[in-house]
Amino acid sequence: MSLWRHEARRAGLGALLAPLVAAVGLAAVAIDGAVRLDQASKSTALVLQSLLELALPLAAGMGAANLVGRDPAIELQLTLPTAYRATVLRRLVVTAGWVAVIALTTAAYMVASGWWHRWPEAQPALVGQLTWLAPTLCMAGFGLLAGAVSGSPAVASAVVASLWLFEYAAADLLQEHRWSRLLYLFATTRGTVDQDWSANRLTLIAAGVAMTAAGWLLLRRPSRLLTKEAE
Amino acid sequence: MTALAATARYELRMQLRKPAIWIATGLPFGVYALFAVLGSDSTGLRRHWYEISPKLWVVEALGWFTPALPMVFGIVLADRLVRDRKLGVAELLDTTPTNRGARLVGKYLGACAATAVPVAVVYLAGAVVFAVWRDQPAALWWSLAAFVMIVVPLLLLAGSLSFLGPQLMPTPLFRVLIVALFFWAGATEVESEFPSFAGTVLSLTMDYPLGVFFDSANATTGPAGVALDFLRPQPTTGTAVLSLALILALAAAILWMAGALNARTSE
Repeated sequence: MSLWRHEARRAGLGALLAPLVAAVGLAAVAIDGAVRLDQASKSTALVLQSLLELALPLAAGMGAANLVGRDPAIELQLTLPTAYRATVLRRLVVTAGWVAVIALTTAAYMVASGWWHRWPEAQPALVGQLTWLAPTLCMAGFGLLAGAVSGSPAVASAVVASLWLFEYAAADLLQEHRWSRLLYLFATTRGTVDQDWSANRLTLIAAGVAMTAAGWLLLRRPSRLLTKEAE
Repeated sequence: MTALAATARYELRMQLRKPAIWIATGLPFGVYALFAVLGSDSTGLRRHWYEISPKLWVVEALGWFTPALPMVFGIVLADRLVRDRKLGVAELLDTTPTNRGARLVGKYLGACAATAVPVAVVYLAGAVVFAVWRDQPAALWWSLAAFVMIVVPLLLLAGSLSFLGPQLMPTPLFRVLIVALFFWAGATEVESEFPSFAGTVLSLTMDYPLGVFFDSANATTGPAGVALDFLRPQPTTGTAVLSLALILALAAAILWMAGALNARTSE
């Protein structure tokens, strides 16, 4: 348990603060929309769903991208009996787990208050948790893989941010082919063919698991990180 | 002066050798080019194939990703200043008979210049391709103009933010926030009920220079009858230059704050 507490601290305040800042920020926008502007409830519901499907996965991906390559005494760490990749995976669980806690709290509040169903494309409450779970897993896996390949948080963060932004900007483009529809991160809020939703979510989870596994394999020989400069 | 030039030169060379800046800039442009080729007529990207005006091609096809470039700049530049202290180099440099301010400005200019190189290569390559393909050599001038008036001011702003932000918060958090900042700037519109600087002289998507100098259809300028309209004067050369000056002044002010904070922490 003390190990997990330590890893939570090691994952970095940044990794833990980012999803919180994102959630509080977007919740403020939603409240502002609902109260001050007396907005049609659909667009406020969209802001809340976007919090789950866009903002939190980005925070998870960026957090995961910053896990590898930030240990100042990596040489020392590699001499320990605990495998480095086990440590990194533990930090990934802490990072993604924290995002999950925030997402679940938000989703529970949305369901209880009725905001959940004001977004027409929202799924039933239980299955609907895949709204955040699938893209969060996918982005976290992608972040870890990018970090493991590059060994540099800067490269990994930039790659994660680019992917996220590309998916956002090229929404129409990515609806054209079935394969890109299945891999589309924002199927709930930025639209996809209706019957594709479940398949899309499952594909994303599978992709996330596959990328995490690939990152895990790549970190088998962490000695190749030694030539990299620590940030 | 020597300290400034030497730091700038060193930082430029060091940063240019980092694969990060090449990958981070090359990747989005590469993916975009791939999808522009794969896409069909129904989507927006395909129309760039038929664009024959070099001016519009430079700001719309080549500049498709430009509003998002500052995010990439911010992410790759975020560790530059704080890293020196983390590695213990800052204390060492402080013992040298050089001016701390000059070193900071030199570092800033060198790092920004290096980060600009991959984008400059993309702009040059894009312009050359268009110039040959459409027999429009003017594309070279337009791409130079867009690079100087749109990319460079955004880079200087993102650069100064990356010198200030990571001193105030953990670097990973700063990386998320700079994505959020420029996402907010790009995704909000004048009509959005959500408060924003869209369509003002302070717009982080450079609406005034884009609208006035490049006639871009993506730029919104002029009074709109909504909040903050005093920041939306008639689009003229004067107001476009004013907009550029404001962005540069903002960058300078943020860099000054970064320098002041850095000096205080060093003591």
